[in-house]
Amino acid sequence: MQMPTFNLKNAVLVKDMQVRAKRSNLPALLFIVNMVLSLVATIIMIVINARLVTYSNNSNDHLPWFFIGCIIAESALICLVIPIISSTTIASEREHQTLDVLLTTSMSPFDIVLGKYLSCIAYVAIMLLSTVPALSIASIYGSINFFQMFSILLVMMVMAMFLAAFGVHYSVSLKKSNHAVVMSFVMTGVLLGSTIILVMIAYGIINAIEASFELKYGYTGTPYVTPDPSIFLLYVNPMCTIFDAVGRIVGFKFVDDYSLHTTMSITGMKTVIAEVCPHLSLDNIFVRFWTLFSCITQLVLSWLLLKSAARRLDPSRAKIRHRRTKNAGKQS
Amino acid sequence: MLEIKDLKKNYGYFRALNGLTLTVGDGELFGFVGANGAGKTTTMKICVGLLKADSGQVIIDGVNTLDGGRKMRNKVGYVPDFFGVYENLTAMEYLTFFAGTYGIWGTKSNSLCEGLLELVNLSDKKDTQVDSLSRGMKQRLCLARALVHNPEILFLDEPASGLDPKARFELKEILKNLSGMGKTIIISSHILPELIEMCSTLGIISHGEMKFNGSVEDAMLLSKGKVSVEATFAGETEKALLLLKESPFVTSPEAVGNKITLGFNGTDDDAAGIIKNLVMHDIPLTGFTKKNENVENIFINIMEGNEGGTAENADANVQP
Ligand SMILES: Nc1ncnc2c1ncn2[C@@H]1O[C@H](COP(=O)(O)OP(=O)(O)OP(=O)(O)O)[C@@H](O)[C@H]1O
Ligand SMILES: [Mg+2]
Repeated sequence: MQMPTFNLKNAVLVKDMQVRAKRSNLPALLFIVNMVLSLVATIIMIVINARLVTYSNNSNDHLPWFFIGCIIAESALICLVIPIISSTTIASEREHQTLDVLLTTSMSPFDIVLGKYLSCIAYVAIMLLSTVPALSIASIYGSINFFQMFSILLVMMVMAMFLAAFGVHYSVSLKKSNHAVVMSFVMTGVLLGSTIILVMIAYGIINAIEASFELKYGYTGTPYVTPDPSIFLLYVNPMCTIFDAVGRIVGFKFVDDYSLHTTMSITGMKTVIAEVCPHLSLDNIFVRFWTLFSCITQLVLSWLLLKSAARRLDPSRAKIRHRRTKNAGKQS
Repeated sequence: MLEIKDLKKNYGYFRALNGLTLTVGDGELFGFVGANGAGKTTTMKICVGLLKADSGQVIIDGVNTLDGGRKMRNKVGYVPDFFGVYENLTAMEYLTFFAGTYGIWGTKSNSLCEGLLELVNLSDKKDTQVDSLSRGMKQRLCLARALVHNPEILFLDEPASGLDPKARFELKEILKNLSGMGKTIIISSHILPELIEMCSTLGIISHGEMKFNGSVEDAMLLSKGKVSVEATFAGETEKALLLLKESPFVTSPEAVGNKITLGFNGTDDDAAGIIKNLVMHDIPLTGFTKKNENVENIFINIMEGNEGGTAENADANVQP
């Protein structure tokens, strides 16, 4: 009779939710998130008004920007909040000397990691839910229906889950919570920024190889090597997923016209980005269902990260200590 | 029943446990004694699955438990030497959480936790924040925590450290109580007289090896004949020192003023012989006091292993 309850309830999750609820920072966070969204909406409104005055443009084309602005702001907040809360989970248990006791209980290391992880996810879910009213208004202006809005919220949840998995992973593998926070931020930056740069570099290199082949063997019409597969590295870039999901809803044309491209072109990347951006070769199935496939990739990776974190946490495997012992042997 | 066989553990190149072997019977209150750094905490951590041993066996109820696993963890309770408590949780919530970690929820968990709080005399602190409890109370709460899953074996790492005499007494009563309930309890400590008073069996560990494993009575027997003696003189202390050094039963005599302290490992007749010898040499002996009640000294001798003659003899006696 007891087994089902045991499987459903994770004590660490319940406890963490309890502690989080008692702390006063949850209402503060919700307040800040919603304030930021209001601020973004206000700024967009001011900009639109100014444009209307300048160009006396009466079309409603720009209205989706309320929605896009809110999504960008919310994603940015997730990127800020998730590394902090996820990477302090296990590390702070270690610092409070409560981890050892937890490891002697009947919970497996994976249960502990999962409980910690889910408590972060629940925290972000509450944060996202609290923005639903503001987001709904923005959606109405952009003619975005409820299901579209909901799907974007889901994509943002996946992004939160993916980043949180890295946070929890570092929380286990690094002893100090501030190291773990720093590493999670670095990793977030790598995922969001470096993946794009890597793809660009891959494009450059492979195109150069292709050019040299063509010089040597002659141009045959079909390329010898193609850089296209390297684009799938961007499956792990949550920002690309959100870009794709938003683009599918408001139309890529729109996104191109108004400014995700303009923003990128400021950094001088415009031409390369134009090649790299997912929606530009829509005939490929992996590109057509970019959002779906990249979400699946990210969830699978999150799962693997949690599994490896649990493995590292498990004292009976003692992976870390063994490695250290080996190194000590090599040095002397 | 706990059986540890030839347990070895290295930290890098440092050998913390060197073939530790030890047996604790069912329902025993086992005192685990050793100097700082002897390896007590290491042994306990291995037993509860927090550390991986390099080799050896830990057998609980006939099952080798070194591979860890939930089954083993359900059998042992552990109170570490240093432990933290969560902020923002009351004593009751703290226990409820740990009941949850063993899959105990709802009303069952409530009655269990209340019962445990009563057992450790913390019923009145039920709704107090855990981090505002005193050290002694935290210790007792942690003991209650280690009992939520009704383990067969309890490992307590220096539970009495940092407690005042009253808190220590209370803890001792609770432990005796638990022992009466049939639990096997392993306590590590530095405070030997207390352990002797409370425990049925003793294990003495030094540099990762067991120096002694047996009943408290055996330990006391072993300590017989290895006493420290304080002899006082009205004069001629130097002459007395020379004479004492000749005696085969005397070790490391030291003179301070007109007082000589020495280690003595002979019988009462031997002592009488020494006194007679001193008096025959016209040395004004005014006092000759044996101090064998001082268990601490004896155990220090055993623990320190092969330093000094007395201890060497002790070693020879202790080897099983
Ligand atoms: N994580 C570690 N890394 C390296 N050496 C360690 C580690 N933990 C313990 N040691 C060493 O192992 C030896 C045994 O330590 P242990 O903590 O088991 O001693 P102890 O008997 O519990 O001592 P105390 O009475 O001070 O608690 C010590 O010399 C210690 O320096
Ligand atoms: Mg210790």
